[in-house]
Amino acid sequence: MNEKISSLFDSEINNKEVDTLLSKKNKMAGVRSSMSDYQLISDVLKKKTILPKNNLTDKIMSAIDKEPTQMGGFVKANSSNTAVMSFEILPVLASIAVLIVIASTAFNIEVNSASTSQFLAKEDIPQEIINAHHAATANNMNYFIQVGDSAK
Amino acid sequence: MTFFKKLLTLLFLVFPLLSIAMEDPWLILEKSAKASQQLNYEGVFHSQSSSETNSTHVIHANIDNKEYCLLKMLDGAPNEVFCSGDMVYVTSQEGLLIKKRKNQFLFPSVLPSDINHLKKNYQLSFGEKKRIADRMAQLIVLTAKDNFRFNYHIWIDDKNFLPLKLVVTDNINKVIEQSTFTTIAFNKQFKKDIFEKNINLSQIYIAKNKFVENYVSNKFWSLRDLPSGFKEVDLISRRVNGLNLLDYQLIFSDGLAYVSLFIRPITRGTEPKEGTVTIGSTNISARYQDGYQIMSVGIVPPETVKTFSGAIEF
Repeated sequence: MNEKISSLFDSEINNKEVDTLLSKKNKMAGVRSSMSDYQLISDVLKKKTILPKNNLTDKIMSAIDKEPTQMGGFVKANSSNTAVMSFEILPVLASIAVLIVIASTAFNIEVNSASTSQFLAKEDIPQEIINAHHAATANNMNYFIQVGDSAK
Repeated sequence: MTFFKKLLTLLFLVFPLLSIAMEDPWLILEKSAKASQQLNYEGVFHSQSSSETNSTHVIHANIDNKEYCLLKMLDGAPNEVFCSGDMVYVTSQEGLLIKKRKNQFLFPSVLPSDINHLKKNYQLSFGEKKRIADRMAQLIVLTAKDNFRFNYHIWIDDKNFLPLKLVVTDNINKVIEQSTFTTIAFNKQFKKDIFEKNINLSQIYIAKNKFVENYVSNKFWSLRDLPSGFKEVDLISRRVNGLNLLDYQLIFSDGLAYVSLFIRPITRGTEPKEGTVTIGSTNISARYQDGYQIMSVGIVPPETVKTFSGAIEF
């Protein structure tokens, strides 16, 4: 049936068959849906302007929902399905990229590797670290007084 | 005198000596910990840590089962500290700072109330008696059982068990820090007024890095292979200046030694640091991991802070 519908939109079908198809379209929801899809494909191929229907987004989302969830095991890169695979992981990669951008902007955290670390010197130790330690743990009142001084 | 009477007399003489000898030697530390909380005393103690030396005048009293203390720095700025139970008031030229006392075991109250924890990590031995601040004192040495902590030498008053002197040494017997009374008098009666007279609540100022919270619901780290005997005793979080971020200070103790482990997010433009340095008697070890600068700080051997900073996992 799909072959005949396809032929209809390619103008490769005789008048009798057109009548039969249109008759089935009115009676069968499946044929109606297929014709609608083929019409859309034909319009896209002929670069016609397509006006979105109100329920187009719903249909797309519904169709995506019905797709099986990909749980890993992507097709190997050298297989004939490479293009399909790339297309499928693009949203995943895009999501990861967006998350990294959001994380590094919102949290203002430098994403450095350990190899860029500098060797620790005395001048690198913030005085507040020493003060915070002694303020919380001192067993010598002199520390406590000094910390009280510098905490302001 | 019959043989039976002689034997009875001998037992009466020997039994008290036996009971003293059999008494748990660690009990003296328990008595000492209680003495530093319960006794009334006034004196001056001298503290030395690396290149710094200070003298402090101290008055301590226990009034209606509540501890009060008043300490005045005799060197440098005339700062004062007043303790009332768990509250600590620090007065300086800048004003009044109020803090809650948690892990500060201020000299001479250096011993924890739970002595049992110390037994696992320190070896106790008795040294010679000597005169300190015109009083006889018994030396107790707590020698570290491993290389993760220093040794503590405590001279305890022969009559009332108050610690009169504390010396902390490393494993080659080099002095790390010490505090000792130069004068002390006991059994004075104090009134609450003398502690509270200098507190002017209108001069309170707030520390910039005030604590945000002590309870952290989302501990995103885990710790492995900590030095033996160290337990987490506190967790403090602070807001990083100008950022909607928290940094964390985990505090660990073995009963005598304390280590702070800082987990701080690295802000843009800051180079992460790695390594170990010594400042005075304090050792610091830094490590970088996954956007966080980890630093451990403590008056403990360098190996200890290094182990702590390496113990964090995300």
